[in-house]
Amino acid sequence: MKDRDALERQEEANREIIAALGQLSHDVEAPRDFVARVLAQADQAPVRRPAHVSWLGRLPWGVDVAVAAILLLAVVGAVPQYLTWFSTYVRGVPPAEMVATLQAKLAKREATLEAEQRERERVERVVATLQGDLGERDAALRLLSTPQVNLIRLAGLPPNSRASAHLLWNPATRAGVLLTSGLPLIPSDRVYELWAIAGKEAVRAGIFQVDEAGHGFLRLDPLPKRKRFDKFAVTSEPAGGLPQPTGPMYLLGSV
Amino acid sequence: LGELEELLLGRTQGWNVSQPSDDQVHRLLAQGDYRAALEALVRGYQHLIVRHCTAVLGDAGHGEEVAQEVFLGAYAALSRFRREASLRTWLLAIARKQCLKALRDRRRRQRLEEERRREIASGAHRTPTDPSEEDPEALRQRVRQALDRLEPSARTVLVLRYETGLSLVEMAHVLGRSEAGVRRQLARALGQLRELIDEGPE
Repeated sequence: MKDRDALERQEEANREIIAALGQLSHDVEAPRDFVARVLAQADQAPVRRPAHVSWLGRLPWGVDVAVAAILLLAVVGAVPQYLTWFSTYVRGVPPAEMVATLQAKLAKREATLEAEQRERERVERVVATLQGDLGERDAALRLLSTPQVNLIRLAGLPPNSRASAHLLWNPATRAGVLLTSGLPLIPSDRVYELWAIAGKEAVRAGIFQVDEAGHGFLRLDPLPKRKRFDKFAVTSEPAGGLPQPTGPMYLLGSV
Repeated sequence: LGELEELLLGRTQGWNVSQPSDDQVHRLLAQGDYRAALEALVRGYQHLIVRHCTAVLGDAGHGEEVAQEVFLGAYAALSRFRREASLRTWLLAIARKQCLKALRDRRRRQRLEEERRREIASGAHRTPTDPSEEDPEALRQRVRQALDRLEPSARTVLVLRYETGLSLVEMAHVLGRSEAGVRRQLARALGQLRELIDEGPE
């Protein structure tokens, strides 16, 4: 609580400095040939390539231990001569019966290990999703608490008139979040793209997808600070988005 | 805004908030196609990383150069990437280390140059200006100058929070600290930045 208060006090006392920090490099973008340059360097520097990792090394933690245990059990179970000698001469149990019992136990343990591994992977996926959600919500709430934030409503365009969206937009820091509802699901090779419109120029503001209910969430990419945006619109574009809108328009709203 | 706050708290739960490129990177990693995964990673995060490095280093050319190193470092580490972390915070953690290294190198070079010149600064005392009364562009310049004089670790937390826009949870992941630790570090860094701004340029 003390840490929280100290930070809140500092933030309250330094609002203008924080706003200036938010605009330090908002108009900076990677150059057009950035991807090509990184890939060329990656190709030219063989030592930087990912070291080959054996299939055992790629397994998540714990599975390698489990695999080693299974191998050990298999080795123990694969000594029929020893078992024959042990069961026949020491215990007087038929060897085939003893092998069958051990194999059944081994199969049961393998099944348990596989089930545990599947559960572990499921939990990891849930945790990753929740962490992402939490980060996005934190950003949106932080934006809401900013006094300069504007609320812009984007209305659905025919034939998707029931779709709508709210855009929380801070013109000072050029930060914003978009919340949509009622947008139709689109094919997996396409995405929705948000555009900030200044006069006749459209500037890309980020891409997003929606769930079955048409709900989508987007934290806007930082927008150029010298432009005065008067409208925002959403179109559908090929996966990865495009620098200029080409697809049909779904939502439109004015600042 | 109260209704919207409720809307955000309630409805964003379970929404698909990951960027499309993340799924693509995960799929390519699972197939063992590291080069294609690198390409998808760079396409998805190039602007974020270039912007972040530029903000920390205060120089677009240097920021771009270090951003390339970030992606090459990520390429070398792709085989060890685990899905527990998000790609965004993972890349920002690499960027943080690369930027700190670049800042250390730069400071070493600057110290050597200073020793060579041995010039005594004759800066006149500057009266602190209230930031709320200042022209925004002038304030931005003073913030930039003060940020350049700040300790690299303090500079990094301020940029991560107020420029790159990370949440405290994400910052805790990137910095490898607790949320309370991040709060303390942020409050301290803001205070130091304010002092440097009030002092004026060196």
